[in-house]
Amino acid sequence: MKFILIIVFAFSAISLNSQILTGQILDSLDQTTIPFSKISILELDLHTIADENGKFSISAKLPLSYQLIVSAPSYESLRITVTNKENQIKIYLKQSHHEIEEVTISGPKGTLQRYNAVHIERMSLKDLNQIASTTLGEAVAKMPGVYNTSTGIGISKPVIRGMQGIRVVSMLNGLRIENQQWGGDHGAGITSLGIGSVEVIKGPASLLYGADALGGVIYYVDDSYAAQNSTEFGFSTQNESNTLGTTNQLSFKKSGDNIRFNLAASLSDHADYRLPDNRFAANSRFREHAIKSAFGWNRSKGVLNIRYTYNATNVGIPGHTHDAFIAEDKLKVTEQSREQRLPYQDFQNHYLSFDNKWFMKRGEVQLLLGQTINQLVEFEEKVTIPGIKMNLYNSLYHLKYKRNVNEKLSYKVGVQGMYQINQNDMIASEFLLPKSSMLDNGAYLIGFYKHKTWDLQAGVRYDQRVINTDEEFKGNSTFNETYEGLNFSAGAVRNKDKYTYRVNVSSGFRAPHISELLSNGFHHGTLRYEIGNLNLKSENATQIDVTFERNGDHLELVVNPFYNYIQNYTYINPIDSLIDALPVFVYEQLSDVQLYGVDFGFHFHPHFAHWLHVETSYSFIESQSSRQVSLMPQNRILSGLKFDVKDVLFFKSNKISIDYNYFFKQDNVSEIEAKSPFYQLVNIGVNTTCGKKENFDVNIGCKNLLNTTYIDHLSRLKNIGLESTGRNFYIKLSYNFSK
Amino acid sequence: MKKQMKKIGFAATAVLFLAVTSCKKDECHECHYDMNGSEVELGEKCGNELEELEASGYASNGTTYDVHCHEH
Repeated sequence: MKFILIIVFAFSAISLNSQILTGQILDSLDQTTIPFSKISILELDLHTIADENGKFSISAKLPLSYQLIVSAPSYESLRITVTNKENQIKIYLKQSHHEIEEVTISGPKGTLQRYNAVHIERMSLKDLNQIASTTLGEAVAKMPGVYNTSTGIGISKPVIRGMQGIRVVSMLNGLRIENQQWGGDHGAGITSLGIGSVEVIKGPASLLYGADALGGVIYYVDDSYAAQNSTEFGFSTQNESNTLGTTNQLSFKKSGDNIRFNLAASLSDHADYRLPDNRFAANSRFREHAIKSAFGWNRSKGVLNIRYTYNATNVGIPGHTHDAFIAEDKLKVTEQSREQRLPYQDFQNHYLSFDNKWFMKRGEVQLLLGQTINQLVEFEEKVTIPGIKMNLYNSLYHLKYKRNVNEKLSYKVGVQGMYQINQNDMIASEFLLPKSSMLDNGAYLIGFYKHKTWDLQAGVRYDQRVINTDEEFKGNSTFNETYEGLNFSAGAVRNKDKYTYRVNVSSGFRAPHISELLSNGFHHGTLRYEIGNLNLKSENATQIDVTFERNGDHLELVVNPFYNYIQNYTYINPIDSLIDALPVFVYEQLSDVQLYGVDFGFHFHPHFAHWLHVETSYSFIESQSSRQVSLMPQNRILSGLKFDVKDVLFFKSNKISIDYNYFFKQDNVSEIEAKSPFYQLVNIGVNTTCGKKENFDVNIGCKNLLNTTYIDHLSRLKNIGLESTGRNFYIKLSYNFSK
Repeated sequence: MKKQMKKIGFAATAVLFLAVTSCKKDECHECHYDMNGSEVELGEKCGNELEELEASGYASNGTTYDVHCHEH
């Protein structure tokens, strides 16, 4: 009782100290009201929705100064700085045919992308799933310059401008995801549950993300909390013909004045996928479940967010064979199954983070503490004894201080690090890696300067990584080594009229991973025997990235060329040897590799046909080195036609999407790869909404409509000739209720 | 409305429960060992017997053979 009274008192005290900001959103041309705009306070991760008269009210502990972001369909998003002395405001928005521009948070400065000196791709998961994706990896690969390397459907991970695995850092709301990503057959360790949007930084980004951010960063952002003082409930079910698969998600959100929480859960189950010839890829089945929770608390001078995500996946490893001559009928079978059989992986991930911000007179302090646990189990030859069983524990911190010196000048200083322990479970029959620990520490300083139409940014960072093993391992004595990195990033962006010009030079580094240094064993997931190399040095990369954007009312254009120079590039090379019928591979380094290319995109929205959207993106990448680098993605054109269709009976907001994707042939291959021919895919989707409050969504469509037979160059099943999925019809039903 | 919220709460709890719990059956598998290039079937083994066979192997005429219990 006493405890309850204390809580009641505490909540009362909070509400007594809250301030109320009220306002109205109006059209800048004719001063008419704009209904249902979204008004967000960036610093508090808080939003509300205006009523039908454009009026809104936010009750919160407001910082002395904060950024208000206002967005509405058919209007240009607006960012304004407000002080807590203002309690009533009128906001005018300019009409625009652009889609709503949201804040990017993965960059050095959380703001609208047009003010960022670093080019960041941002897409909401809803937009990525206009034509539904089976996995999060498939959805993310629709972004320009981003691809997906896969082992069937259940195992996939992102590829950014040709870089993947340990060269790409994945973040979940500021928490670094560590999940044995060095392994080509280890999945991304994250599901689409509760993800609101995905941001991608292409190229080195060690200034913000430290060691390993050499190829790029994938930053997953959770769905927002419910609007202030509201409750939301959502349920969705997606069913697919190809895998007889189903994905079901349930979410519940509640927000008060200062306290809010989200809860969500999902279950997904897929049988073997169907090939274009109507046979099935043996053992490509997978199932996963996940839960996600978030709790937010706005206090008098700060905001706290506690987030926890758990996911578990059981996935068959298709295309597994020890035979020198591959029997096709073992890889492609006539019966579809979802029963667990060898070989398979079981992996589980726990992601926990405490993120606290304190507001000060001229800035803010933010502290993020996190813990991740990854357990990877591979059952290969026996059903009761795993081949590999590893536990990875990662403790992280990130403390940063941001200060606004004046209206033009601000800076951010921070320290960031993690302590990682990798352990083998003694029950396993193989130990691919020794028991080891890794300690990262880094410190950085970034300055921001705004002058007229220019936003400038420059920063420098020092990192240190210490790697230790506690035991002798397969002939190697204990290992203790320190690696250091000094990195920078400098850039400028100019916004004038409809045009944005951006240039950024950045560097990144990656210390050798314990797997590259000390591996000595079978890795059945990749069907090879891997041997490490103690002489590897850190990889270093420097990239120049230029962006030109035109944001006209009817034509949006983006041209984004880049050049990335990488030193000490580590790769795995086969030697002429077999152990237990598996080929032997050793880790080696190239002195330098050059990657260059361009991402190009346009969106045409003709004045005479506002119901039509023509969208195209072209991703081109080439590499040059003394020896061809493997797994360079196919250049591609992703193009789409989107039609807005008038309301039919009780179906509203109807959209028809037709995608035509062309993947160019890939002839630039390494000695251990086969060339890949071109292929083309056609996908179609229809989205509609119904219900009194337009809260029932129906999404139906077909992927690979023409049942094309193809193998993507980044498929790990390419070398055994196992094709990708055939035609796949899907239906997704979603119900969202809010009060 | 209160009833509706109760229903929603119940549904959310049920889904969370299903998401985090799973039952593990006592697995059974056909087992064999390899001798002179051919497979010798041992029949279906379950539970502790299955675990013991995979861990310790199968002894025959003074030789211990590695046992596999799966379709491969």
